[in-house]
Amino acid sequence: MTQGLKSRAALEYVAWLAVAAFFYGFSFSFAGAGNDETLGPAVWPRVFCFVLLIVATLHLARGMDEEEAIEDAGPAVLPSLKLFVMPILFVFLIPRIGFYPATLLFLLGQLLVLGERRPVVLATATIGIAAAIFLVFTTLFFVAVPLGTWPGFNEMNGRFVTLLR
Amino acid sequence: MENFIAGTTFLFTDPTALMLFVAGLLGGMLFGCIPGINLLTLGAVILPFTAAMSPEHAIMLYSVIYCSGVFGGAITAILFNIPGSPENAPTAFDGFPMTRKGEAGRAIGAAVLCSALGGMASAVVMMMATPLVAGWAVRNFGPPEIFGLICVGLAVSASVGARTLWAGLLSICLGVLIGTIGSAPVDGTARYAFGSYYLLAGINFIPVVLGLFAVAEVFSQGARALSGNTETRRVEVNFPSFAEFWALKFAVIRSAIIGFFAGILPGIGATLAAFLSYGEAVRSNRGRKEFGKGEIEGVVASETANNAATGAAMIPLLALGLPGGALTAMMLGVFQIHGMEPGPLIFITSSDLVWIVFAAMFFANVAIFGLGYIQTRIVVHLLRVPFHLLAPAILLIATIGAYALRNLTVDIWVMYIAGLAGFLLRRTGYSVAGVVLGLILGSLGENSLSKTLQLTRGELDRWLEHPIAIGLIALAIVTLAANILSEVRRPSAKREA
Repeated sequence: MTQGLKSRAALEYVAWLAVAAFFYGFSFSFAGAGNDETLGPAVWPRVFCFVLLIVATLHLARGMDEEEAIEDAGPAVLPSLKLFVMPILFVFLIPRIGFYPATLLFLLGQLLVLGERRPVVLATATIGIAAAIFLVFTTLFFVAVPLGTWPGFNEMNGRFVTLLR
Repeated sequence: MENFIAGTTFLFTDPTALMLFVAGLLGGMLFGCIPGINLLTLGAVILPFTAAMSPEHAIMLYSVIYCSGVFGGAITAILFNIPGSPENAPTAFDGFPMTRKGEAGRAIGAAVLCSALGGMASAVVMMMATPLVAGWAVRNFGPPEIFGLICVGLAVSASVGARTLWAGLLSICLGVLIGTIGSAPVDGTARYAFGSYYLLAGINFIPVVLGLFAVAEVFSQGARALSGNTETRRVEVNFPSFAEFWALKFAVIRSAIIGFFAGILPGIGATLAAFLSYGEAVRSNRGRKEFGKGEIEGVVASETANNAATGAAMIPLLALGLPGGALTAMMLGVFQIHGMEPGPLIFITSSDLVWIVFAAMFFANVAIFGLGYIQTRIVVHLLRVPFHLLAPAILLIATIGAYALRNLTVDIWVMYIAGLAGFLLRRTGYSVAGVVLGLILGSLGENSLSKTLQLTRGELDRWLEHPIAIGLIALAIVTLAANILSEVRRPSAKREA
């Protein structure tokens, strides 16, 4: 347990070093330069990179000193990552097949990921939530959503919007 | 007083005014509680239609939307960890943990009461002291003082919601660094944009907030559900008792004062008012209360301040023609549409309009008491919906909220990336609230420091001309030093053993 916590503290430290290195390193590529009377574009991020570096070191020292597990560490991270699959697919599909069909696929997929297996619930929840969202945002608030770029989808979604409004 | 009565009479005897008052009230509450589709969206949508209204009706409508919209966002912040508007983000810090403890009703009850009280107090002060207060605040609070105020905010927020002070400071640094992406405030130099027009405009605050709060929360609960550790939320609509509320009277007064002064300052507005007030609540209760874990004072501080800021924001707008935020800027647009110029003369040339607005804002806050109670009793039952059915709907609403902001798919990507980051940060004891605070305060801080350097021409001794700023910076240093000392002295688990 202790070794695991120390490894995690070291891993976190490396991650913070990477963040600081990224922001500090790329601050040299800024075109503008300040003078005594103005704050140069690189000053503010560099100051906070230094602060981050110092605090991360203190945080590491504290982490190396801990022997107790952090309360409520929760379930393991890796199995939880499957929750992100459907949202990523959803965002990928939205500009391609349009918001409406992508929403139906997302709802069905996310319900399955979250453990719903009953076909009737899957169908009613998918259609019910989608209908409510489409009605509120398209019919009432006129939110313009992507209609898709893949052949056929733009036309189909356009007709659907006309139908809704 | 007779001006106020005249304004009230107009409001309740003119059918059009009354209809617009009710429409603004309901519309603001509705738009306020839907992420992405906030009161600014409503304000923008109706702006063209105000040309057909009388100036009294148009300005009154906007003032009512402002009051009710700022309150509306608290509901979803408390129930689902989805702040309806940026000014409700600190409400979620403690409001949502209260919901998880089965105290959603208490949290929303506190939000209803405090929003109404903060708003009414602010409206009363606004009526009594507009010219006086506006003159003082605008004369004495320039960029150096705002920079000092932000230093205090950053120092205080380090201890919000993180496992240790170091984790809190790291979260803030991350937020500040994310806030530097885009154009530099002084000369517009591109920073970390890598040739992308999207990044050049900076990372938008709304998708980040939606990701860190709503998406991360859905994923956290989803992860628990996947591991078989399901959480059943108790649904209660128990408003805080009078005794409990009375015990928080100083918190309400303090938050109303903070909200009021933050609201007066142009460019600060209700969002920073809520964050500063929350930070002050944390600072003044250090060691006695556990903020971030369901402390009712956290909700009280945030909601009192953001509504107190709404009335105060009208002061510089009406008295000096200076808008304090986006919605007041729209109001300025309404004035211009009608060929009017807000400023000190408006109290002489359009006294009727001013007092109709004052009366409308006062009664809008009174109405929040009743309507907020009804809304709570209805909305709180959403918690009875099983999580696996609610989660996709929340993600979907957040997705539309992020997209509708600028009609850019990249904002949805930002939201989900922030969601993943928030999920990991929370699991490792960092503070998502700290990241958000860093993001907001960092950009404002850099901006005000840049202006201060130009103002003082880089000469350090010219800071002495700003004693309020020096006092605030000193307070920030003392707060941070006290926090660090307390952290260093805190025995670790190992030493305790």
